[in-house]
Amino acid sequence: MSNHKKLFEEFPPVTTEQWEAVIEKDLKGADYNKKLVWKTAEGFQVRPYYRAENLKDIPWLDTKPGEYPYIRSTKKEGNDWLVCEDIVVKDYHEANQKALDALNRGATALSFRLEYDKPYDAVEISGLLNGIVAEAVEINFYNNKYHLPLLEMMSKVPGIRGSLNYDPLTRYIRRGTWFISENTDMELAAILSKAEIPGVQTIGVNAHVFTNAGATISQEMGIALSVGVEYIEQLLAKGMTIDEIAPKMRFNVAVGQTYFMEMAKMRAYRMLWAEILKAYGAKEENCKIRIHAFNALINMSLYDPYVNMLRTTTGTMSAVLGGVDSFCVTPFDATFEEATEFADRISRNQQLILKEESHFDKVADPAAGSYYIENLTESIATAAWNVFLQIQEEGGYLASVRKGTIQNIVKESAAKRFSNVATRRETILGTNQYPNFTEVMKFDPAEWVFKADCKREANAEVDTIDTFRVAQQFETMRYATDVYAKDHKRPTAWMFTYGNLAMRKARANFASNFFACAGFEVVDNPGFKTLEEGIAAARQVKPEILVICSSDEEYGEGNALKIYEELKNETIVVLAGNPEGTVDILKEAGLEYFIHVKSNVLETLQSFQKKLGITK
Amino acid sequence: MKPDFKNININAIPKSHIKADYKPDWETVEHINVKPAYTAEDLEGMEHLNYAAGIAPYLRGPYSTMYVMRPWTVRQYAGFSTAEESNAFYRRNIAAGQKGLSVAFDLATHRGYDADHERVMGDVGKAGVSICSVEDMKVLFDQIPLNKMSVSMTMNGAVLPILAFYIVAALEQGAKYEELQGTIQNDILKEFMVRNTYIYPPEFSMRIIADIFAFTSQNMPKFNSISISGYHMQEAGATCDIELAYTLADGWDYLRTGVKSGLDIDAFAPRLSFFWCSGMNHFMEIAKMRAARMLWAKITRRATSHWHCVLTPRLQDGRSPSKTRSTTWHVLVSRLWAQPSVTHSRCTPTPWTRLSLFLPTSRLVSLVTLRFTSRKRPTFAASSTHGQVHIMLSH
Repeated sequence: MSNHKKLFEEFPPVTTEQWEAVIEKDLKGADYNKKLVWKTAEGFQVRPYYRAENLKDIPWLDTKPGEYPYIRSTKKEGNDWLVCEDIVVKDYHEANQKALDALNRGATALSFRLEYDKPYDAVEISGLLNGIVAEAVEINFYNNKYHLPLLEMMSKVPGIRGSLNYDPLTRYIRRGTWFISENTDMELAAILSKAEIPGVQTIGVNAHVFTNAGATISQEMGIALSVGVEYIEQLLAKGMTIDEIAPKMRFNVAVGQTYFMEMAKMRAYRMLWAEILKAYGAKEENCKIRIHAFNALINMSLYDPYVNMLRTTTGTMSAVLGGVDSFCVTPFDATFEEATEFADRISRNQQLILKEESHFDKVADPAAGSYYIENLTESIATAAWNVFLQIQEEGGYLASVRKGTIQNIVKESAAKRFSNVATRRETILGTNQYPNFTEVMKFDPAEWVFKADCKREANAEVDTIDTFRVAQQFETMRYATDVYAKDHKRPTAWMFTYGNLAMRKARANFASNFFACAGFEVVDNPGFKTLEEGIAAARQVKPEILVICSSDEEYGEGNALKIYEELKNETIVVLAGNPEGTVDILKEAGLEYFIHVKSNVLETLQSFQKKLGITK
Repeated sequence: MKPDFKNININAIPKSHIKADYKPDWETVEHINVKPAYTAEDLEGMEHLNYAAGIAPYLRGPYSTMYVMRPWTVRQYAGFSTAEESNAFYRRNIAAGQKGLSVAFDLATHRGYDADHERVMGDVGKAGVSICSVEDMKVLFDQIPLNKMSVSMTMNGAVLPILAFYIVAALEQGAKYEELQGTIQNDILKEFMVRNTYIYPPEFSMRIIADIFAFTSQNMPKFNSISISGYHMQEAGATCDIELAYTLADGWDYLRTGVKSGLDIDAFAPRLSFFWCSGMNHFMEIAKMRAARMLWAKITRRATSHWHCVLTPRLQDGRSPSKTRSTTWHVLVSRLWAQPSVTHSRCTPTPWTRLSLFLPTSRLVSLVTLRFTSRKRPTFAASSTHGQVHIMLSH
């Protein structure tokens, strides 16, 4: 590169002072930190830009792909990953056909989701794998509780590579119980992991459990790494060596929506796990983490479900640019049904397009050297390590679970997320912001769709955590309107627009978006020339809710009060905005409802539903 | 014995002992060779590592903090059948969070025919909206405050009447000239090359463009008087380097046209905008946008002794989502295409600043320079005014 002809000599390098001076000017007096610095949920700050000088303290810039501590990938060259497809197994013959079809259409790994308490026999498993060339594909099993027989059957398949995903430790925080007992479960972990099937990982740390229960990225990582260390400790105690244990583990990781952060997460996982293993004295070769990833369900939605495809696309991009070993795109309809053939095909193609058309597989760790992503990797690694240390301080994963600390951490973050979604500090597109106005639920979703997934058992010994989707409260609300509208008139929110064109449009847009989140019919109006004209039109339409939309100045001129006084006995009158001074006058007159950017969208809409008799 | 994790310094990374010796194993369609891994060594000698945003040559964006302070404008290219129907569509989109409009006109309008003309019967209202008069235009923007809404109009051949309709519609709403913001495509050179909806011969067309530059630079300071388009070249088969080089060369001709007609380059150059295609080769497209800004800065720097050389790129996903074609699949592909332009989102000035990216950026720059300088000028521009340009440059 250094032999390039110089093309930009007329442009000298820009100093940070010069850049900051321009920013200062562009801020026009606004507060730098407030306006430009992002405080993440993980507790660290992100600057508005990073540049070469911000790399000075990054200690790993010199390392190469495939080199300890593997931040830059566990592979030496390129960025190929396995395109994995989930196959739900009900009838083994059908599942086999589906698997073969997926392989013929580009999948390179399979995840068989078996039934939980069905003991499979050799005929079924060999039928399931019939025609699949084990050397060419990765074969993973999930969910079935008969791990030992399953592993035995796997061992009979020549050349098999894949995983068994035995994980009693995260099961414990979900169900509150062991398969049998802590000791027996750990004894089994040792038996499984001692079996000599070199290409098969037996332990699968289900990090996604924490993500989907509301943990932040650093929490998810810190907890998952503690789970990993708990396995190491227990297996060492059963007489295994670290170099026997390490290759038997893999991490099943969910990827969310924070694009760059998720990318940095994968890099930080590799580094921290490698350092943990090294501390145990593992050979460098064995310090490589194996990450299988898929899209988190927590921020996917029931309404406007095709938006889920967009979500999973950015998530997939984060994960593969972050360098995961294998990936499975969560089908867009996972929020409400078992994936259809269409959903499966799109999911598979989302990955194939990134690989075949966008060339994501060509270069190892493409994020390396990016001023921003390197700094983000460091911030996340540090934040995750702190969570990890805190858990170790309490005696490790199991001790913390018994005390309830981990559950508390996760539940606190979950509550924060719910509140952020209710107030739109976090956007769920099509759910709490920009809903599809014309969408009506065309089928009756099953009950589980609206509920947190609780696996807690009656004899649970510890507090447990549930997975959920942050959109569920909004969906429950909107669906109540859809059900109500089956045999009632769908309530209408009607925009009383007048005066200043820009303000009335802005407020009518805001109010329309607001009420459409609850599935109300929204009627915008072109702007009434006089109040009388608007009042007469309202009397004709008789909307359930009338929203006054104009400018603060015009509200102040007594117009809003007049509309309210005229119509208060005929409809619920709402004012779009929070006009200082005028609010008090209106409140005094009895106007109760003001919607604006600080409103709690969820609670406000729920209160309207109650008032209208949609809910009790 | 459990390690004492507290005492581990996670930042104590051993020194690398692998020598970087990666051989290119992929040649892109731009004939750029890509290696399977890059390291810090690949950056040696790079000129652009310490460029910024908001300061020439604008490598990392035209504004100092880019999307952190001001997110990109979300537009959707659309227009169907009648002004009424398009208007309703725009209003729905605005309600759904769209911040700007992008108007697609039908072919009849593009070619300057009234909707009832027998030669265009089959085209009316098909690939966009039919606009024949100022009255149509008023309907198109009914209830859309043109003093606040940024409007982009894809119009080249019939640019004079359409721009006039728009201005009159806005003034009648009560907007002022200086409030009007948006872009008119007005890029006639690429019409002759790839898009083909020109009306007049090249010299006359260029004069119209010069007149529009003059009018808008005097009266509509927030309005982009041209959108120099590479988009249609990529859609016609151009690779990224060719798209970039030819489009920048068109830009150069427009600069010259303006100057030739007596305009002060500082008055009109800042309102020239660009319109690129964002194709599927993810990193190449990101690199293209960055290279484009640097090269345009260089080009305008040559044409002026001042610093008014901001490249304001506008970007569009491939193909218009007109009613009939928007399948689910399309949604997905569009999402992907949009990514290169928006990945800069949270921490902006281009987070993809180094290794693997810098390579296409740097290689593209040199390739584009090559194509730019060797480009065979269209014959219509051959009455070259190099002499004049040089005189202008020398002061």
